[in-house]
Amino acid sequence: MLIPLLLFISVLIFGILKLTPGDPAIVLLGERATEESIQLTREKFALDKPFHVQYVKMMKNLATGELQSIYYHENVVRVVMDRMGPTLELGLFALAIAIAVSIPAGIISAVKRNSVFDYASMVTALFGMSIPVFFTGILMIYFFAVKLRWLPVSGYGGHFWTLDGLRHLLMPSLVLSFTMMASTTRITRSSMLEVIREDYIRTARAKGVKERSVVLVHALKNAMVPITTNIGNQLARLFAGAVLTETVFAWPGVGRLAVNAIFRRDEPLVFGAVLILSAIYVLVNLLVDLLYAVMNPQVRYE
Amino acid sequence: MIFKVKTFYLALFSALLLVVLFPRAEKAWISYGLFAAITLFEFVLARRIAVHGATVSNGGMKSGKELMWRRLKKNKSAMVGMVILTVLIYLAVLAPFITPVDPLETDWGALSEGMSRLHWFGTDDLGRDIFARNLFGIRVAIGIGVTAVVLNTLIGTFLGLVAGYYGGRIDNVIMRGLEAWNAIPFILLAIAIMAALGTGIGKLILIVSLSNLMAFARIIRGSVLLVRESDYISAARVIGISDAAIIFRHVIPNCISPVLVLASLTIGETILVIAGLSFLGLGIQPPMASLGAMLANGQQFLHENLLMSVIPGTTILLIVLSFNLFGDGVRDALDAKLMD
Repeated sequence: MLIPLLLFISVLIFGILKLTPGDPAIVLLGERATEESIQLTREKFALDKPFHVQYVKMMKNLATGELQSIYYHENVVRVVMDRMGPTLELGLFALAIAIAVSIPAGIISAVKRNSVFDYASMVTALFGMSIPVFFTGILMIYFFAVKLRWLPVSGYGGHFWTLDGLRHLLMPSLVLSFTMMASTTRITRSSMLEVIREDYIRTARAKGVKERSVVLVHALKNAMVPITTNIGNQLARLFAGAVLTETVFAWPGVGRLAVNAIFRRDEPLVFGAVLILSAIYVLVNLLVDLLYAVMNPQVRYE
Repeated sequence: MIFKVKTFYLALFSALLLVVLFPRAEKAWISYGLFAAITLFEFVLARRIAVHGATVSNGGMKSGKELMWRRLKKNKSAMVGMVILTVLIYLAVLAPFITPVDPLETDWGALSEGMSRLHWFGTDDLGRDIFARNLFGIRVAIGIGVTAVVLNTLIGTFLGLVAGYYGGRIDNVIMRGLEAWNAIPFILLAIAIMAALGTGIGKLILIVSLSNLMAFARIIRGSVLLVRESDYISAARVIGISDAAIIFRHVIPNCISPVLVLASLTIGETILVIAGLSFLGLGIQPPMASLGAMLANGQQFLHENLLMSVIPGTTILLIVLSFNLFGDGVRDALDAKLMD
């Protein structure tokens, strides 16, 4: 299922980019190409041949590294992979923050239903779902960078284990985790509420298990399935959808690379970046499905 | 309250029709006359439904819709969302009457000013009135957002109906195709299409309306599969009613409510996505006022003028929040109905 899916995606993206009006050789090379190089490109990408031949050529060029970015004059795959590090750092950090905050918050909300804490966290979650990421980002920049001057305004400060890198990473990852927190808290709460009503929870209480271990062991274990699915879906989206956060904080990631490539009319790079990100998205989704099967024996029969 | 869910949707729809047809600041009297007529018609209709509902409920029989509406009416946060939305829609539609300032007009004598009597929320870096731009931004955001969701719902519902009703190979082809379509992260797809075709409102609506097909198709396919096996459908078939008539008269009315819920829940997210694309510069293009692009512009002048980013940002938050409140309310009301 995986290989045909990836093939389908690559054909689709290739087809979409083929819709660009104008001479495809000029589209691939940029406006300032010489007549000679245009001839060469026509041959290299088989531009006078039918669609499927062009597609095979394009994929071959991508695989052998002959597909070059117009702006960077370098192999497209290389350019994308260079930016993968910051994107991964941002995404995983945001994921860690979101899990660390939202699962405990969801559990407490469910256990102390209709308490002040429950209302507060549900209202916060509703706001988190409704606020645009870039607005949160701008507000945080205003307070922490412009007013208080605690953190740098934007940019990448090196790997996260250096102090400067961590200082740069803090705001973008908080902002990115905010949306994710909202939906994970809501799902954790509703999933826990459902489980707590079950008979086996009553049994556990009846036989004298401590309340703490009823909640954290008996209930949480069974409530975990929808929570993991949700986290997995969010994770896949994090890598693809961090574009906005990366733009607000001038973060040198793959999403921002793809958007900039559009404005620079760098078609080969758009193709490469979109294709690679989609492939990662599909792979992460597949891993989540596998994990789901491991965690929930009920779906394993397939 | 004399609103009902359906009339509320009708109001939304008529407002957005106007807005999409006339996105500029002109006072097109014909369209406003039309809007006034539609509004009046809706009020009369809502009134009559309310009166009718009162007489019917006196008889002791209550339909499921009646029950759902009662639950929704009790839900305070959903009502708050609905009221805010109604106010926002009227603000957006009547924008040219509320502010005398043209949102596109630049005033070089008043660059980046604070709040004043003439410019309620100040002016931006080019001397454009932020309040006016904000009103027109609401108009564009709600107009395009709702259009996209309506199209999304129609296409998704159609695919799901066909897949569920005919089953077999057609079902297989449609659902596999949608799964593959769903496997591409939406924002990247939007980026690829924008890269190839350039930007524009039409393209924006088209792309966004193709984003969420899977959810709609899946939900309606599920209920169609249940309805298809019921006796009244077999009866209709036996007496020789055509497929189209069966689908429209008997299948759709019996499985449309979950779709309405999903659509209500999707609008907020869709408006966020459109604002995000505009923020990146891929959505609505300047000089046309759009909340996302205003924020992107405001970020550059964060030191000088905070109003430039806070006003449009808060507006997006308000729109999406009220749509989410309303959507949650509709879902809860329907869930409770299903439990009875």
